[in-house]
Formats: sequence, C-alpha cells, structure tokens
Amino acid sequence: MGRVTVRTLALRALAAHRARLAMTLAAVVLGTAFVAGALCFTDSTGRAGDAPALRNALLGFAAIAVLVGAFVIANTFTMLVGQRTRELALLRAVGLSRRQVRRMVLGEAAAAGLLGGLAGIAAGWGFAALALRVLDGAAPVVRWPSLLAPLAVALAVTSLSALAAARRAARTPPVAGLRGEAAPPPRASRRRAAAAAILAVPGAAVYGYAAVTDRIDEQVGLVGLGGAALCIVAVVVSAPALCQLPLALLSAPLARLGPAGRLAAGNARRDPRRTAATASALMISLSVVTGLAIFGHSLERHTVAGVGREVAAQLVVEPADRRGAAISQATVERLAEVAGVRAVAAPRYASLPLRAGPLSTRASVTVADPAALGPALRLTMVSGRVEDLADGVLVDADLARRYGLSVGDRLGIGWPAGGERETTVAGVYRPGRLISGVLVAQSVALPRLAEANAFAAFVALDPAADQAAARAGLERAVADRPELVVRSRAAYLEAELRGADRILGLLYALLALAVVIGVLGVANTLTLSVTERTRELGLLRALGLTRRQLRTVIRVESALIALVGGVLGIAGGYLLGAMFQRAALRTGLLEAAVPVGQLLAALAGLAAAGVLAAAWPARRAARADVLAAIASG
Amino acid sequence: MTTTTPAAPGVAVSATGLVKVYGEGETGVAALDGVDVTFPRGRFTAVMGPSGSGKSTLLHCLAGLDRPTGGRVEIGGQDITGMDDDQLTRLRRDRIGFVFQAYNLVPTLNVLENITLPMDVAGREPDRELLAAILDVVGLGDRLGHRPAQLSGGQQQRVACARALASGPEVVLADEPTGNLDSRSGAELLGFLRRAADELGQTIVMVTHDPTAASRADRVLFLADGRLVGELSAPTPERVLERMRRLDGRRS
Repeated sequence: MGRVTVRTLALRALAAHRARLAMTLAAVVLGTAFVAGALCFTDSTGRAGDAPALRNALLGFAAIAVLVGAFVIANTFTMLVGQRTRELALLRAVGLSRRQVRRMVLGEAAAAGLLGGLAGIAAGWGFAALALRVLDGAAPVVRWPSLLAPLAVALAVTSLSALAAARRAARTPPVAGLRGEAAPPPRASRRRAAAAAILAVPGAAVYGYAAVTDRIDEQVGLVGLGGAALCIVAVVVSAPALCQLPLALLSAPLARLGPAGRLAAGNARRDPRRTAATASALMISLSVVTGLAIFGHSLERHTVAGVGREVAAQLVVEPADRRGAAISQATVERLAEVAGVRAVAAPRYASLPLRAGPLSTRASVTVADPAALGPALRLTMVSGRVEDLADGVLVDADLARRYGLSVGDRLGIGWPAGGERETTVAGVYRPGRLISGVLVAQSVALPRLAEANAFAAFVALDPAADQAAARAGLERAVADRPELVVRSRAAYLEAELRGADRILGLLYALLALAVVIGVLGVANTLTLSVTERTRELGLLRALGLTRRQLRTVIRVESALIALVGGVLGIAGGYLLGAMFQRAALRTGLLEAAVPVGQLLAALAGLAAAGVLAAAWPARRAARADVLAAIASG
Repeated sequence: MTTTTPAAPGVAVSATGLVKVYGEGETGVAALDGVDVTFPRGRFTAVMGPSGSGKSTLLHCLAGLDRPTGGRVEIGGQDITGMDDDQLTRLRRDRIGFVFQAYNLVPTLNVLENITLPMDVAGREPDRELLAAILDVVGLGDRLGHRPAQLSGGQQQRVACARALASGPEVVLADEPTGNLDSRSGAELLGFLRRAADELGQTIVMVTHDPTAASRADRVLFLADGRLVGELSAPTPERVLERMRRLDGRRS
C-alpha cells in the first residue's frame, strides 16, 4: 500500500482539478508571457540602437510588465486557494500540520509556476519575435537574464501568493471551513488605508517634484515614474475602499434595469476585495496602455514639430532605407558644388570623452558646417550666436545645466585622432532631434574623427534657384550611389514620421498583449467567482430568476468591474504617460498629448470586453442545475 | 495508547467548567456556559439539544478544533487547553478520530488512501490487524480503489468512520454523521458505530438532533443554552423525544 505524502496530495490536487490547473496555468502563462515579451522587445530594440527615449520607455514598460504579470498570477492564485478553504480545513482537522498544508500548497504552486513559466516564456518570445519581424524586419536578441527573469517572476509570484493564501486559509478556524461557512469578506481595513497613505504621500511628493523641476532628465524622469508607480500601488492597496465610490454612483442607474441590475450592483459591492482585485488587474494594464498611448502620441507630435522646426533645407539626400551613415565628406562636397545649392549640412555624431573643470564624462558630439546652420538646419540659441561657433564650441542647454557650463568656460574634448584638445564654450543652444550635445565646427572636428560619414545631407538652395533643376543636379551628383535618394523636405518629414510610426507600432503590439491579458484576467476571475457562488446562484434560480436574468447579472457585474478598473486605469495612465514623455522629450508635464478619442474608445471597448469576458462564466452560471447547486456541499 | 481492549476502565475525555464566548463585551454570546462532563472509556455517548444549544461547539472544543474561553478539556488524562497549534494538530492526528456531517473525504484520494491519511502524514504504519478488522466491518473491501465521488453518501460516511477508527484513537467525535443520509444509510452507519463501541471498545461521542440516532447510544446528554440540563441512560427513541419536548417547552 503506497503511503500518502504531502507530495502525493499536491500532485493529486493538480491532476484532479483540471479546470483549476488550467486557470492557474493560464494566469501564469499570460503573466510570464507578458514579462518575457516585454524583455525581448527591450533587448532587441535596444540593441538596434534606436532612440534612447524609446529604450527608456520600453524599460519602464518592462518594469510595469513585471508588476502586471505578478498581479495577474497573484490574483488568480489567491482566489484558487481561497476556494479550497474547506479541503484545507479538512486536512487540518484530520491531522495535517500547518506546515504540511503550507508545503502542499507551495508544492502545487511551484509546479504550476515552473510549467506555466516555461510555456509563458515560449509564448512571450514567440509573440515578440513575430511582432519584431513583422514590424521591424529584425531578429530577436537572446539574452539569458531576460529569459531567466520571467521564470523567476513566475516561481516567486506563484509561491508568494500561494503562501499568503495558505496562511489565510490556516487562519480560518477549521470549524468554519468544515461547516461550509466562508470567512466573512474582510472589510476594507484601516491598515490598508494607512499603507496606502504611506505609499501615496511620498509618491505624490516625488512625482510633484519631477513634474515642476526645470532640471528634467532621464534620472529625474525615472524618479518621477517611480512616484507614479507608488501612487498606482497605493490605489491598488486602497482599491477595496476606492471602488465603493464609483460603484455606489453606478448602482443607482443600474437598479433601474430591474432585479438583475440591482443584484449585479449588489454583488460587485458585496465583496469589495474580490471586485477590487479584478478591477486592479485591469487598472494596472490599462494604466500601461494609456501611459504608452500618451507617450507615443506625444512622441509623434514632438517628432513632427521638432524636426519640422529644425529642418530649413528644401532638399535632403539620404539612403532610401534610412539606415546607416552612408554619406562621406567627398559626397557632401560634390553636393555643395551643384548649381543653385547654397549650403549643405551633414551632421556627424560621436560620443567622446569630455572634461569640464574637475568633471570627466562622455558626451554626444555633433559636428556640422557653421555656414549651413541657419539656411539648412535651424539652431535656437539660448545665449551667444551661431556665428560664435568659429571661436569654440556650442553646448546644448541640458548639458550646460548638468555640468554648470556657461559661455566662456573651458572644455576638454578627447578626439579619437589627436588626443584631448581644449576649447571654449562660445554659446548655449536648445537641443533638437538632429543637433544636440557639444556642437563642433566641421573644419575643427573632421580631421580628428575616426568615422566621419553622415546619415543625411540637408541641402539649402539659393532663394532664386529652381528647385526641380537643383534636384536633378543633386541626383546626377550621386548617380554613382544608387542607394542614395533625394527627398523634398515634406517627403523627409513624412519618412521621419513613418519611423515614429514604426516605434508606435511596436508599442501598440505590446498594448494589444496587455489588453488581451487584462480581458482574460477578468474572465478568469469571473469564472472563479461564479464557481465560488454556485449555491447562491442556484438559490437565485430556485427563487425564480430566469437563465437570461442570471446571465445579465453576471454580464452587468463584469462590465461594471471593467468600467471601474478602466476609469482608475486611465487616471493612473495619465500620470505615467505624462511623466514618460516629459522625461524622454524634455517637455512640460502638461504638454503631454492625450489621445482623447482613443482613450474613450478604449473605455467603451473595455466595457464591451467586460461583457464578452462574462460570456463563458455567465453561461456556466446559468447552466448550473438548481437542485445540485443548492445541495452541493 | 490505543484502546482496543473492550471496556477499558477510566475516563477517555472530560471537560471541566467549559466556557466558550463568541464576540466580546456586552455583545458576546456564551455558546457554552460552564459545562462539566466526562465520557467514560469504551462508551458510546450522544449529545442532543435544540439548535443553538452549543452541542457542536462542545464537540469542537473537545476536539481542539476550537479554543474554549475558559475551563479545561482533558483527553486521556492530558490537558489540551494549553496546547499550541502544533500540539493540537498532533493530538487530532494521533488521538482523535473525526466524522463530520459532510465533506469528510479528500476528493483526490481513493478510499484506502483516505482511511490511512492521518497515519500516513504522521509517518506511522497502520495497525494492519485493526485496519483489516475495520475494513471488514465497513464492507467496502471491493471499493478501496474508488474515489469518493464514485461512492454513495452512505458509503462516503462509512469511509469517514473507518478513517476515524483506523488509528485506534482515544475517542471518535462525530458531528451529525447521519444528518445528510437517508434513513436506511443512517441506520447502517449507526450500526457500524455501535459495533465499534461494542467490539473494539471504542469511545464515541456523537452530536445529533435525531432521537432515533441518539437512542443507539449508551447514554444521551442534553444541552440547552450552553448548559448540561439532563442525562438519559439506556435511551429509547420515545424517551429521547419526550425529553426533547420538555426542553423545548422550557425554552419557550
């Protein structure tokens, strides 16, 4: 006769409750896929050398993805263990110690975490690789830490949430469990309110600082995002209480729908913690959605406005595929000789050692022809004049602020060829997309640079020149370079916008994943809560509620939860998105571009998705056999 | 420690001045209000009373499932009121057998595994002779590999009884064991408990509200409003019923 061990119990429980296992696995797979996908995106696009703004956004996104994934897993697991109160109570009554029960639940969690984690990593990677190929034509980059981190998250979160749930189960007196009385839903406690306040106050303070300070850069932006995250966590912690208000507001109109509406509103308000847990999962994913939408929108607007402001040139010569630095100085000179051309700006970029007084650092350096600054590329000066570039270098306002530089200061630049050379700060300008960092005149810099090709040449024409003729001239000048094309200013701006669109496409691919996970999360929780309430639903049926009415109850409840999560999520998303764009684009907090239409659509879609997510649980609830439901347990 | 000898002398379980108050202060409700009771070894005792009389609370306090507010409980001469959770767990596992009204069995384990579960988790070998005797009496020999869901309600309760008896505990505590059964299955189960007391000398305490069930015991105790209000030896259904009527009358 085989002996029953704690492991037997754990494995049997996993094998016997297939539906439960499936739900746990679904949660773990989704959560892990989310994290793995986000990390893969971050790695791959980061390597491709895209804009640092995008990389920061993706890193922030990955951090939030970890949070969302953890939340989805914890939510499901807590409820799944909560459902088993009676089984655990029985085991405790017949003599399993608290530790044995804990070990059993942990064993199950670890097994589910491992299984789901591996599947989730595969799924997340598949999704990321596919999206990268479709949107970017790029191959995903494999980094071990990014593969192992999601697995660690899956294992840690399943174990921790199982532990918390098992502890709660151990605290319910075995008696209550055996009699089939569920522990009364705990009320939003004072402890939660206190914890929320402890999180929210510093969070809001930090956010406020980052919002108003004029020393905005990546670090300050990250701190501000941390503040926003603290505020969002505070909302999650106090959600059981916070959800009461919107639910109370929505209850009155719902009651007009008749008994089903009244019941649905009552259900949603009855167990504030369960409602809040579902709404919070949605809130977090929607915060991410909204945050990224705002960031993407702002980035797009900023790109168009910024580049439009910067480029004065009528024509631009660049590689057709816009990849790589392909324009040599010889090419630039040939372009400059074409009839009708006034000036050619072909900015080169390098990252060089910089010494300012006692400080040593690396800074990005832009090299350009002073004669072309103005006609081809506009520069907005903060102090000094563009012409002063002849006497030294110009630095951008960010750099000047960070290192306390002003006109007249000495600066040492370490050149690849020729070593360090001292120079003077001759002026301070506002950084743009094309010119930023230390701006050095071409005549000084070019001989000292190792790699001196430009990405694009911006060609300014004489006011009297015929644009078509000049364009034909330029095309002849680069006829031996078939990869180069001549674009009008408008065509160049459009291509630039398409670049931003490509980035947005990546972001929206991630968003799609977030929304899918959010909706599946709602379906998951609802199914669980319907199973939990079999008896109650059976009783309602016995008392004369039709199947249809019962289905409506579940659907309305679902839509209600989705809406509450949606409203809170959009608010949280604004906090995140506004700070994202402020940190990445150095703009003011209120300059964030809010895609109002898209957000309203998202909210409407969410309510609809809530109804959709309720389809399966509602069917299940309505199918429940009245007598069996009442007799069960 | 096991009491397989019939009618071993002495007291299996006793409670002295047992008080259990739910809630605090003025809103507190006394479910048990000073109960003194002893359960002699090898005897089958039924505890009766109207609902809310505290009979289930008494059983839970005797079992160490619920902590009394005051007084003491001794099992086999050992005071359990000061025990911590681990000690209580071991006590339940090794010295007490349980039969509940419903939901007695772990659904993922088969019949035999359910019966040996308390001993298995204790890492203890079952007494094979006792186990064989019990399985013989329960009459589920051909269903040992079945899962609880494949059994009828009566069969499930018999498995629960077998589990309670299999470790040879000091006392078997049964909480409305026939409450969910039809009369034939209920009678079968009671006969089974009766034989356990007679043939194995098993001490049994059973809470019930069914006079017929109570009449199968050696002795019936009556509880009302958290106090012990009467006792009946050699009960018959009629005498139990009559006593219950008087209790109800007293209450109103």
